[in-house]
Amino acid sequence: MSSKVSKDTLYEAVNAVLLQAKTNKKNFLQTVELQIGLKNYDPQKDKRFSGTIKLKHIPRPKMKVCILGDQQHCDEAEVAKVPFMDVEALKKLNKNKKLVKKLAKRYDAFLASEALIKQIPRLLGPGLNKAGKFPGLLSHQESMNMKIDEVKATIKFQMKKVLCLCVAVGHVDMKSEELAQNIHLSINFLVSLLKKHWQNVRSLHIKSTMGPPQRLY
Amino acid sequence: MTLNFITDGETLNSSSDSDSTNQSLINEENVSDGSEDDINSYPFVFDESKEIHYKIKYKQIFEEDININEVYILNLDAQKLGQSLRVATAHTDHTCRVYGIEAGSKSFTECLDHEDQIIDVKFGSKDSQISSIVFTGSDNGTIKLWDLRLKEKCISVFKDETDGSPKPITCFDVSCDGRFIVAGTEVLKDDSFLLFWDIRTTNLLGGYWDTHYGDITQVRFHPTEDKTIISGSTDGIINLFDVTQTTEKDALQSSYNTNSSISNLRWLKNKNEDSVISCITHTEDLQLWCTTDSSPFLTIPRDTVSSSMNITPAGYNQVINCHQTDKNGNMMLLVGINYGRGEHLQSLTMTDGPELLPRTVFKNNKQIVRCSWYEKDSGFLVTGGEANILNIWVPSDENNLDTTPNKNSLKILPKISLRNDTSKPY
Repeated sequence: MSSKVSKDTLYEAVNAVLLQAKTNKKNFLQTVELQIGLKNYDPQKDKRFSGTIKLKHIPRPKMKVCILGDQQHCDEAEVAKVPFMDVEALKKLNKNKKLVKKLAKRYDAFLASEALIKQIPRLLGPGLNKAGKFPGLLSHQESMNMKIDEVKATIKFQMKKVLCLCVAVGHVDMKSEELAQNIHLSINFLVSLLKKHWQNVRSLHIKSTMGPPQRLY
Repeated sequence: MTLNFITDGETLNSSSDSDSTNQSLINEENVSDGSEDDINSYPFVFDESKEIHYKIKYKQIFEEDININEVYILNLDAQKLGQSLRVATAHTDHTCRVYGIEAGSKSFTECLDHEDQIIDVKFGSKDSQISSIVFTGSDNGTIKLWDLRLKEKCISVFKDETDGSPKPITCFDVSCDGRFIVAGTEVLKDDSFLLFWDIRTTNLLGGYWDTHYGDITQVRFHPTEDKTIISGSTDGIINLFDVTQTTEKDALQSSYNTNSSISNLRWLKNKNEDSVISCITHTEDLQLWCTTDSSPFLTIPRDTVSSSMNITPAGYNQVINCHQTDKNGNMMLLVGINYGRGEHLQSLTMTDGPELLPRTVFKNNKQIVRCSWYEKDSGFLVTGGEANILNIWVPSDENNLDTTPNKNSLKILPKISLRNDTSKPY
């Protein structure tokens, strides 16, 4: 599929966003989001515009991931200085709604060992589901750090009833190439899900948390 | 999708000369303006160098084209006895149509009107009889039970107004014994609900609202175990419940993280007769889960489907449904194009691995198909979609005898008419 955003336009907008963030430093790491306006799209009839994309570069490096591990994974996590909990620690929460809610709030995402993930509903009740943080699977065949990076690099998008969508695709400390790659990947992926592809796209903007929007399309 | 843009030599060259790039950008915009009318000139190609052998040939035996602009068929259900087929279709103009079809021609049509968008339609009990009971659900929060035999067709209305106004329902299902209805809702003030009703009394029995973070998009009773249901949501989680437990906490048996957003869930069976959950995501991928597993035993990404369909580039195909094709655990995928008019409709036979084999191409399809029903014994396929067309497809006589059902023997079976159907399941 051909992109309707030229490389020049993309880099121009990316550099403008990054420059703006550099000249107006904030005391937190600003996120860069991609905003898509749609047209000729009927949320009642057309398929939902919702899902996940795995980006090339981690858009939210500060995301906190906690391992709910078996013995081996807990040992690994301890060495790697990754937060972890074992079965005993989970049992102590005793399905207590408040304690599970607190645990869910403390982290952005969870990964669980195969032996644990099946027990999560029994151990913790529905608390993590309710918070939208039911763990992903961490198997012994894959590296823990790589899996954590994968979780951090995967972003969710979901369009509600209004015809626009925002996704966090990066942050202002990224190199312009990294940001441009993430944006390009996101645009191509999202457009391929639309029935009329580019003819469903009204506008594309990128914007840092505190900066002005830059138009791409 | 590849990052060919970044590594594309041509683009890199042109970027050194800003004038020429601007020029090409303007050209591109012109092209995009012109192509508004040109949506049906496909930017993708079927690789015709490969000769594809579709194993099973099909023919269209029925087409009902209700040509109303911008009206879609989004859901359908069907039941079949001998050559008699009954199909119910939910249209986006707030109507539900029920067709009686005898040997390929229409014997009756009923139109059931709803006040709002119909989110799903289902026939009543699915045993050997053809049922006259139809359930329709609407996003205004009501589920209606209709009896086609009666003059005043709507018999019962199910809704939950415990919070003042009805909840926005997105999906529903009826238990296999025909006693209960379950419905899923969108997120309403931080909660998305699963609601249960007793069909006979129309009483709301209760609900769950602590197990999903996003809108619930699918809910399914197990086809043979009344106590088991699964629900799927835009939060990417499939939850499995034992509804005989008294609290939601105890009812939740398992959760499966698809890491995506769930569009379609179905119960199927594998070779060993174990229950399998098929899940189609909003990003057009397919996952198959065993209820005892912690990861899908088979994942088929959209690109794999696309290359099995011989389409390049990727990004134009959709997965419509996953159907069981026999009692031995075999399955097929119904796939199509989600671009332009989407005439290309085909099925792929699933193998034990990620490989998909061409099965049937459905010639003369005229629309992007959005819903389907398949009956494994006869091979009947019913499809509906975005041109408001209902189609019925059957295996053609050209196939080998062992794959074609013996039509003559089916014809001997008694035809079911509305008047003879006197059972009262409600």
